[in-house]
Amino acid sequence: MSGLPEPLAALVDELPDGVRAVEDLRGEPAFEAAPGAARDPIRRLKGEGFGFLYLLTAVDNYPGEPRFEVVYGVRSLDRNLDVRLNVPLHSAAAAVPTVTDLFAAAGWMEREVYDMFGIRFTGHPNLTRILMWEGFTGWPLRKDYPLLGDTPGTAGHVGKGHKR
Amino acid sequence: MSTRVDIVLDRPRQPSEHQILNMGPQHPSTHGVLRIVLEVDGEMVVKATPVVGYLHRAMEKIAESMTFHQFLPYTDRLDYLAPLANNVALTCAQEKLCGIELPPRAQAIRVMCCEISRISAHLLGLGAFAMDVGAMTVFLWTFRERETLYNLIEHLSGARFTTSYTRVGGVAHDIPEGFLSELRRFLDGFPARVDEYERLLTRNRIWVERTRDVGVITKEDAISYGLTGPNLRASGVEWDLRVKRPYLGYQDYRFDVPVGSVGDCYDRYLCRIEEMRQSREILRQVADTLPDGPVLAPDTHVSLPAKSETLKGMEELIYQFILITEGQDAPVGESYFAAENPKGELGFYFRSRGGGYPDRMFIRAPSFVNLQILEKVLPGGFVSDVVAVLGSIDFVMGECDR
Repeated sequence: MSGLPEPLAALVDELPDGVRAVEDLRGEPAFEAAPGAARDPIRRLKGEGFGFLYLLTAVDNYPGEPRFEVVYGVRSLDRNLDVRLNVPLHSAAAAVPTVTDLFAAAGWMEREVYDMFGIRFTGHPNLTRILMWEGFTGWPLRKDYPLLGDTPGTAGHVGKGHKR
Repeated sequence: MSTRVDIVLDRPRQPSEHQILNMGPQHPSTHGVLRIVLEVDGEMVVKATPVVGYLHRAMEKIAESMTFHQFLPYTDRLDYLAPLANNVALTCAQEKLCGIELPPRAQAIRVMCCEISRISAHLLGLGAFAMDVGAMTVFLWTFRERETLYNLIEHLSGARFTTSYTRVGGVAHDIPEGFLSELRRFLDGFPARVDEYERLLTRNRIWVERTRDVGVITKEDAISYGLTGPNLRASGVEWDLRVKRPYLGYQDYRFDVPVGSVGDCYDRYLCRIEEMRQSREILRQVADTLPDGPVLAPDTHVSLPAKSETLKGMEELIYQFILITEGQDAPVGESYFAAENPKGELGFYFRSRGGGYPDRMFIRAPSFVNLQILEKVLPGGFVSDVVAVLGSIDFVMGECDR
């Protein structure tokens, strides 16, 4: 990739198989990993000085497959450089290894993704709901969770924004 | 003279005999609805488990079925102590997604919005912090200045809290007549007010003993826990998005970024005090150099045409209708924008499939990320220190729970 800034351009060849460089809409660097393979690239990036996790969230591509994407954003404070890593996940295996041992910030962020999308983070020390209450069923930010009511398939099944 | 008799327990006291103390969600120092489950050994905190989510309103879900402008009022309710700054952050993120350039006057007005919000939010943070630690007067004095600021905000946007002042491509309307002179009057008197707060606190023995070396956050922890804003800077990390990644023309203003050395509650207090002075410095420069020109991008495909034009021109009427009903047509893809808000980095991550509605909008709320450090920093301190640490972290639950 020609558009990558220096430390990332050197890094991209050493990243594990299946990781490829992409660019977002505004030309900021991002990587896309093979399904489920989040940990190795993240650890590699952390070793290169990207020690600040600023973003950890997920996207639901319902009804497409791979259905989910976990989005990691790591930052190097010294180089003033951000890079994001998108990790696609098939709905049959909606789990990724945790990065809580690398970034303490991931503790709550991963719990939030679990709470909202039902994506499991294997090895997380306390993977429980955080914003919703204990005992709540369903994964609110999934696209098949209704905007109104709590029964999938009823009125407001998907928001009006999904009429295309 | 009587001799003191030791209390004799009918069973030997276990060293592991810890009590569970439930603090919040209605505790006054939790500034909203934060709950902390404390495991205490006498007066010492052994373990702290923050419980959040009491104010969860599913904003990210709601955003998926709304145009950008429809979502704007929701940002007033994120960090409700700095609604103008949230408005600015959201619209800047949308403009980054859609690739819209702002006219210079709109940029300067937005900088003004951000800095007024910063002073106002820091004033409340400081006042509440001081009151929780026992200094009632500071709270009343900071509210005197906040009243002036809220009058300014009302003059600017028409509302004191629910401002919704920005629009994609600029701001809703130009600053009103007389606003700049009112602002200048406030700015002239403000440094003396900050000196008053400092006279009450900075060398106050009780204040210093309650805050110095309390709740120390090391540089490494601050980075690992993803702290941002004054909390990160107080731990000695020089990181301010206004300087590192200037947006809205922040590179044109001269200001300093205060950085702490120890990372205790006292450093966080000092950082906020100095940030208020620096914000005043920025505001003064904006007021002096405010450029002329339009306050909305002239491209009517993305920004709302002037109301007077929509009543006369066919083209303008059509675009007004399209923008209101369908929203700004965003390109397909992803983008992330972060602004340096009073509480830290407020970021918006957009995933768009085209059209006027975001497919996914993630709000990176600084209060949510910052609060996690409580698990680390509270154990080992006294129960009374919990209040000081909470005050110094300066969080807002509306933003944390979204």
